[in-house]
Amino acid sequence: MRRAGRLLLGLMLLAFPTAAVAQPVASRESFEHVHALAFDAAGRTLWLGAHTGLYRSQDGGLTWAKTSLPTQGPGPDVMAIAQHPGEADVLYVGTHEAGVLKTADGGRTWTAANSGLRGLDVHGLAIDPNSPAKLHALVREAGAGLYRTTDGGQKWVRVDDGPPGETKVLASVNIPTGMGGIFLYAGTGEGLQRNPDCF
Amino acid sequence: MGGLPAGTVNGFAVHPANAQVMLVAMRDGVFRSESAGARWMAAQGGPRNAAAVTFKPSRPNEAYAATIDGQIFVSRDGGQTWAPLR
Repeated sequence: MRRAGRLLLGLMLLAFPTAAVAQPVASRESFEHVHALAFDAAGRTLWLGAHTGLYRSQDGGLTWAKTSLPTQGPGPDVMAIAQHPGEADVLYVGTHEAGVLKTADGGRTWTAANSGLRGLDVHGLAIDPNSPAKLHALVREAGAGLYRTTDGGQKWVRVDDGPPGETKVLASVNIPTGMGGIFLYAGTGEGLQRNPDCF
Repeated sequence: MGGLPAGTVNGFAVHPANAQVMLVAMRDGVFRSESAGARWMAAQGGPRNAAAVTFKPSRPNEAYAATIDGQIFVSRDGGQTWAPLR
């Protein structure tokens, strides 16, 4: 009888694999401080970056579950989220202490994408809507500056000092500059700023 | 950037189908532009202490905002009016 019970449980886990790995529901009090919010490209998953980590909602923000990220400690402090415009499973997050993390399977596995970054305190992350392998990252403190990758985060190159003031959010916006590129917008402590993304 | 109050811009989002339409999240609420940021208006019912904002790609007129402490607000008219998510 006990053996039959174990067999039944095994069959249930095979039939409903997500139930076996479901994360506990997180209350909004557990966020402590929200930094970022983004839907995946399909509009199914709403991602929320907070002081205590990365959270996902499958019901439009009614309930949340914490996502495990491959970093030390309880966080990390997720400062920025950049979702791929066409592939719902591809997402980048910028963190306060672990640089940029990337998933290509909807958040099941993550890899660090920090080669070329001279610091790991990432406060802004923008993905180009026309060329999604091109991203910008705003690094603060050590190695501060604006960085760019053109290969989906495999290699970053420092571009310039970035916008003045403390950057809170960064976005590439599909508005032609007239000089061959599009605009990069930054929400900062000094308001909203924009620069041509064609330095 | 006329019409935005002085202060920190915490969050920013662009309409998926019309890049001229933008939202920002600020301490004083959510603000909306139809001119790529040249002019801004306060969105009706937008939460104070707004930390982040995003559009839903599959329903471009649906937008979500989060306050710093994690309360979620939703707009179903492209960010013009907002209500708490229930």
